Amino acid sequence: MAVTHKNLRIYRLPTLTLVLIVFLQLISHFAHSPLWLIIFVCFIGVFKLLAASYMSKQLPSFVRIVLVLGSSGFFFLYYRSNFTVDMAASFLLLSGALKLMELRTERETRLFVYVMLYLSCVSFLFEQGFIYAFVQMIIVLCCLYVLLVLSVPNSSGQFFTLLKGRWLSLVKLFIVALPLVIICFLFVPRMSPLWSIPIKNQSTSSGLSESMSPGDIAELAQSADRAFRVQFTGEPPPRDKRYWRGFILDSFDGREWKKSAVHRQVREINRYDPGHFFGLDKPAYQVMLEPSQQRFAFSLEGSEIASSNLVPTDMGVFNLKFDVIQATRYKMSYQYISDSPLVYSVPTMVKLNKKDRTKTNTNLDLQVPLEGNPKTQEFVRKIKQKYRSPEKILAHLLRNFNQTEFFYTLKPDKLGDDFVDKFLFETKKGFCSHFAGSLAYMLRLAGIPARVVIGYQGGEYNESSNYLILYQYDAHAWVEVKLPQLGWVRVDPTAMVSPERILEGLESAVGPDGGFLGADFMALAAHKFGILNWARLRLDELSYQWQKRVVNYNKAEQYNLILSIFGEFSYYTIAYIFVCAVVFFFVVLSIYAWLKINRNKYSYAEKKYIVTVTLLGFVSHKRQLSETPRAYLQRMGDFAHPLVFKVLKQQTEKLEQDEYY
Amino acid sequence: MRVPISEKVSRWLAAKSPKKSRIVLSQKNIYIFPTSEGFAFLALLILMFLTAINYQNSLIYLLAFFLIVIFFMSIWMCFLNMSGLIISSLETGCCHEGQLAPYQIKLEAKKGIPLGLSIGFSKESLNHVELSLNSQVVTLTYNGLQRGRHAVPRIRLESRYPFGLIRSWTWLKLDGFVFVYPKAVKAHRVSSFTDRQSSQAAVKLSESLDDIKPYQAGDSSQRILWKKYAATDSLQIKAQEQAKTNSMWLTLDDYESVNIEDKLMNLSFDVCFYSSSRYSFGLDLPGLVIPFGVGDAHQRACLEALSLYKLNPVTVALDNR
Repeated sequence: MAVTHKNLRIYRLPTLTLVLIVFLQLISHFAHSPLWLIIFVCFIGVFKLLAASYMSKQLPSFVRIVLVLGSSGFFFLYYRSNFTVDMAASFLLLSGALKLMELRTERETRLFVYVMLYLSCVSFLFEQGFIYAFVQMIIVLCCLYVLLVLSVPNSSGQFFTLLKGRWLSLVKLFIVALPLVIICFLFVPRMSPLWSIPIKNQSTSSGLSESMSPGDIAELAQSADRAFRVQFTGEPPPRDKRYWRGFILDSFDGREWKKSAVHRQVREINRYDPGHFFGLDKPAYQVMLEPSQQRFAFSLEGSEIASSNLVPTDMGVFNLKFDVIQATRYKMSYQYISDSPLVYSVPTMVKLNKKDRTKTNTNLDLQVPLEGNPKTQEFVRKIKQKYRSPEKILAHLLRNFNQTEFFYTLKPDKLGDDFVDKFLFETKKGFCSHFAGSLAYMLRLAGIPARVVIGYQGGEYNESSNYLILYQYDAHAWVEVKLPQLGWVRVDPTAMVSPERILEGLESAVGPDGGFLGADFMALAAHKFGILNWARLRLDELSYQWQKRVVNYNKAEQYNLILSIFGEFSYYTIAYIFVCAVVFFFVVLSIYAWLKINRNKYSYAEKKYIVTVTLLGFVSHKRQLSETPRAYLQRMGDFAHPLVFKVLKQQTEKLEQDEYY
Repeated sequence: MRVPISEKVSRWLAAKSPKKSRIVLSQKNIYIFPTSEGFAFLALLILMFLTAINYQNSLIYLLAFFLIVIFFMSIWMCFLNMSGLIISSLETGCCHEGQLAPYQIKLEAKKGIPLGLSIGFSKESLNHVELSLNSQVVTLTYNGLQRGRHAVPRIRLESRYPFGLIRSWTWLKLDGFVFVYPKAVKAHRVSSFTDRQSSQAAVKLSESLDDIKPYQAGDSSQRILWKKYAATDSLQIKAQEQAKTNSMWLTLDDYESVNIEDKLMNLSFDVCFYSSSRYSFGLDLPGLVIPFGVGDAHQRACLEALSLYKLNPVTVALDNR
């Protein structure tokens, strides 16, 4: 027997597990942690491991003080005083690492574990993929393991048997807990946010930016990150009709296209709204946006809002009500009309609805810089003299792209200030932003209202799960132009130069040596090799289902689920579910506890006899309380079937033998 | 020191329950309450729920639900861990005053060994016990007891399995007791034992010296006359250990000390000394005479008589409770 005094108990801390927890947290928070913090945490972790195996003592106290003060100093210098979610995460990670450095007692270890559990919770504010969730699950199990070791200390016996036993009981616990967790997750009523919270974090926005200088989108084309996924309830449009409008650039300074100041909104901090969907009867599509820190909601021509988290802005553009800091879903009703006519039979040229300005001055669509690009200005003046009607001018400009030696490339040359001049008359090599930017500029010079639209085009269809994936390399820029008779019309100059981009996608448009995903070897391999491509699509399906069913499970989904199961939604229904679940588990556990305590109350012969007599009592005569087994046997001799009597006799004799001899 | 209400309630309940020699732990005698760490954990969960609500984050909800389910399940695990444990008191322990009084109790687990058990006489003096077998004897020690016969105080058995968030405990009232003999202090005996040989009691005893009595259950097996058994096939014992010529009486008057307690201490020493050197001796205290004898049982009887001699009634009352 091992007896040690409680206060002097020396803990054999599970150092390896503690360090593992910190390293896994570091992986989860890698993307938004500053470099100095990553290095610092790694150092502490490695030190702790070495200390556990080679050194018996702690770091000298002055070294610890220097480390604490130094890292705190770095922290305050790095974050100053602005509170963000990043800062909170870094603070927890830093304090966890500092605590790890000097862990000794049970209380300290417990505190460390609690900090790590809250850090897991914070990590879900940044990353919600199922791989991250899996890592967090391991962290939480490790934390529970540490708590288990702390409350059952000093166990003798083989290390690995102990380890196995503990993990086995944890896994058992996990499996038993799972059904209850799922019931809670599905049915506990979700509340609306209680107060506004800082949701913007410091990490830079990904995907499209709100201005376009030449070459911007070409950089984005190197990224195989997912932008969003779409699931259609109706018929999806073919690839060359899938123009996902994001936002409009309507101000040109000779070099860069930007949003004009009037419709660049001040983005106030806002509450996250998972949104509830309406318009159930109409064909529609649901978009699952990856976190981008932006508010753009991408939509096809002819879409209408069908979820509460969207707002219409000017020029037929839709926005979300908040910055997309986590994967967000929205819905738009949309009907694909297959025979919508092309304008003048030009590929990609489609008449648009409701794209007029409602909030700002229409003259903004004609704004051009007064100076710069003299060759282009001259070129347009000549065309304008030659053709009077805007339709003809447009047709000529498009023909110019088509017939002159323009190249579509991912590696355009660097252009200086008068980028349009240089592009149109010298290099003639460009990406979609070059074509769209220069076309819109030329149209405006000719007095035709025009603007650049930024969004995504195309997308990859995941056939087996029937949804569309749009990657960052599907980013695209095109032009909208207002013709006197037709109104706003979409025209894509890139389609004139490289129809493959529109019909087949970027990869075939740039060709095998075109630099598609050139910088990202892994992503390229995952796109090119059959089996990897297959695995990539299956993985994407899994993550899509995870996002849709778990990450985006919200109030509205809960409402629909309860409605579909119980036919009505009320808090009584929820209360009913919980009472049932709790009673069920209580009963199961009580039976288990009863069995455990009373397992050996009766011997095997007794149990057998009790069962037999109870059964006989039902079909024939009951045994009286005062009756001995022998007396009962004699009484039953008159009633029972010989076979039954024989069994009873055997059992009675066995019982008597056990009990009395 | 302030006593928490839960503690008061459990003490009150324990005071009501009768003493038993064997206790099976079940929902009737196990108490369960979260530890302070458990309350801290609940506070952490509230913080997590607030985060989940304000950020409308499903995964944080999932994590918080998982942890709260774990919390509630650990209440059950904590209870099940201790339930079914059988605790019984073993034979009387004994010690001299100033030594640690040993109480022996037996812990028996029928199914699954309880983990993380601590045991002690109060909440503050718990010692960790690790059961490695299904049945195990644990010795508890109590310091600073006066001479006398002491009932086993309440014993607290506690476990914080599995995560230290919940504590389950029980107060055991076992009917064992422990004898604390007077301290053994060596002193010079004033009167030589030859003077005492002519004592009346000694003469009376020596008359029946060679009596042979039939064996009765409870008689020492060492006193069985095996030769007689081989001849007659009936068990006979010597009525009295063969008294040696150097049999003697130990009395209070043998010592110079003024204080009765000191004399008892001296007697205590001599009882141990003569017994271990296998002398035959008797104890003659005012109001109590223990006849000549040798052996462990005789020694124990003498020491018990010494430890109970003229005890103040308070201790006796405690004992009779």
